[in-house]
Amino acid sequence: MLTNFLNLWILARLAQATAATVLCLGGMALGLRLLRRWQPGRFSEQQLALERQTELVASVMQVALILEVLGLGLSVLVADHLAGGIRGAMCAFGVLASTRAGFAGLLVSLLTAVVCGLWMILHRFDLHLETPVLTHRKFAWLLPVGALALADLALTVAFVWQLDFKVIASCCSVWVDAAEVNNSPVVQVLRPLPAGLVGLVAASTATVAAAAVARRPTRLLAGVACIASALAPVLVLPAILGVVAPHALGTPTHFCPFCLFHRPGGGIGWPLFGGMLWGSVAGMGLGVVELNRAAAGDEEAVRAFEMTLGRWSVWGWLCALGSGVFPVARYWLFSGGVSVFGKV
Amino acid sequence: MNVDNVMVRAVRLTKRYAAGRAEKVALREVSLAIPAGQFWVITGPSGSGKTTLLGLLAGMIAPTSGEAHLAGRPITHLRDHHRALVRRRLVGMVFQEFALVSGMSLEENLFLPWVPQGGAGRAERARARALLERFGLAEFAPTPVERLSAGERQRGALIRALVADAPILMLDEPTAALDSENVRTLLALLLALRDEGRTILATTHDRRLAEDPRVDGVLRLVDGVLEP
Repeated sequence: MLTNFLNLWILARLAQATAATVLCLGGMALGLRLLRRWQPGRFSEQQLALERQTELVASVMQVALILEVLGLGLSVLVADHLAGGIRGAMCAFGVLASTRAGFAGLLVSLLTAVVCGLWMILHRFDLHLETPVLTHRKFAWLLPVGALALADLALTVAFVWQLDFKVIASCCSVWVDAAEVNNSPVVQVLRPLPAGLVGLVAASTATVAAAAVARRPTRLLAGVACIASALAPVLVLPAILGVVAPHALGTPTHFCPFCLFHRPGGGIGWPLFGGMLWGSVAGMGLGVVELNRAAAGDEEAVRAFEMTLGRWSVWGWLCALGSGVFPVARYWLFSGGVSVFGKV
Repeated sequence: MNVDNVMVRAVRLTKRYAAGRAEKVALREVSLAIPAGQFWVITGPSGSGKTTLLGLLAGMIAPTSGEAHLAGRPITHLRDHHRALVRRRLVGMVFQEFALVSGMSLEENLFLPWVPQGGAGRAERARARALLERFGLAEFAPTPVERLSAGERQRGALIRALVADAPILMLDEPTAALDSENVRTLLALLLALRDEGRTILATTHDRRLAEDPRVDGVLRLVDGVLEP
């Protein structure tokens, strides 16, 4: 509905998505030109001008892609803020669930943020090298990034268009209650002890692997850290829903991840999911570097950059681990060794 | 000429500047090769592109097209940061107006190139002391540069270019502010440095330098084109 487009929060999200998409499309256009005209090793006027142009455009693209990553956070923030205007919606979950494009849009925003993060890692790695040997690849990868940015904008517009402030939405607990009543497999996955253990092991493995790369990078360790960082978010999510959320929100059946962004959840959703995204993308970035190792042809630069990425990944995962463990530990401490699910 | 022995090489270097809506060609397809351990001079009238050529060869300016090589290594495709590192290692530069910072002592000026790296190390300090002694400026080390004569400032700038022990020395109009006595002193110093194995390239329109028989080669640049 057209009036939806006048909401300030919605306007902010649309402005961010539009700005990022326009910049990405500009980068895509140069990427297409570059793919046709790039002549590595040549010293022609066209090649040297193209090299200078790519440096400039890549710097602008960095801003665009940071905007895209921030767009993910803004999506959650906007949906959360709009919850106050839709009856029945207690958090972003209700708002997103009230439209067909809501969760699809969030998923695409997440995918865009991850791909943008990986592109920025490729860009930073390219800048580490003496000559622009990865520039051609870097700009080729801008094509899917631009397509994702466009999809993100389209789904954001669809979400806003489908938003109906007169509808009575379901809150997150309705979904959980329904799952409980039907004994859904989702609830089985969220059994606290196994989910918590799997999540803790997955996050710890990703952290340790990244720390090992930060200390002494090898191809094997970088590969392990990359796989661990890619798998960990999937394995950690049940732990967040099944263990962290109930402890943070003080209710054994409150599994909603979106409520973790609220004050009752201590706002731990931001460092928790932010840290996970950071740690995971940096860890997966090790795979990006490994895939480009041969093309880079500079072992010292690869080594130095992998050590930096390893450190970034460690900090991200430590932030996520700390944010996840904190509410559980706090609950135990204040309740005298009792979890939110009862005495263990 | 044996390419392995070439220290400074240009292949069809061209530089065009935008001058308003028009375009000015500062250099047009300049190719040259300076062998290691030789002293070459680039002459030409004012505005002929001498300083631009020196800047391109030193990697301080990006060419519009063409390539520059230092010690056999192409520098045109290098990223700014890496080109700066290569330049710092291979080239000592003496600028036309000396580029010494007023209000700072000569010694402080000598170590300015190391500020981005957190300051000069022990080796650079020892080398600077030795060069100050050799060039007769030891007593002026703590003196603010604005109190030095033109000849002393010229030698100070030369020491700064040599502290890094770079194998290539490039000088832009080194005699512009010097009297005949100082020109002779400077020439003697440059020839001594050449004899020690340094490759020296200087731009000048000073005939005293260009026509000295001890200079190994002279290139003449007119309107951005090297004369045959």
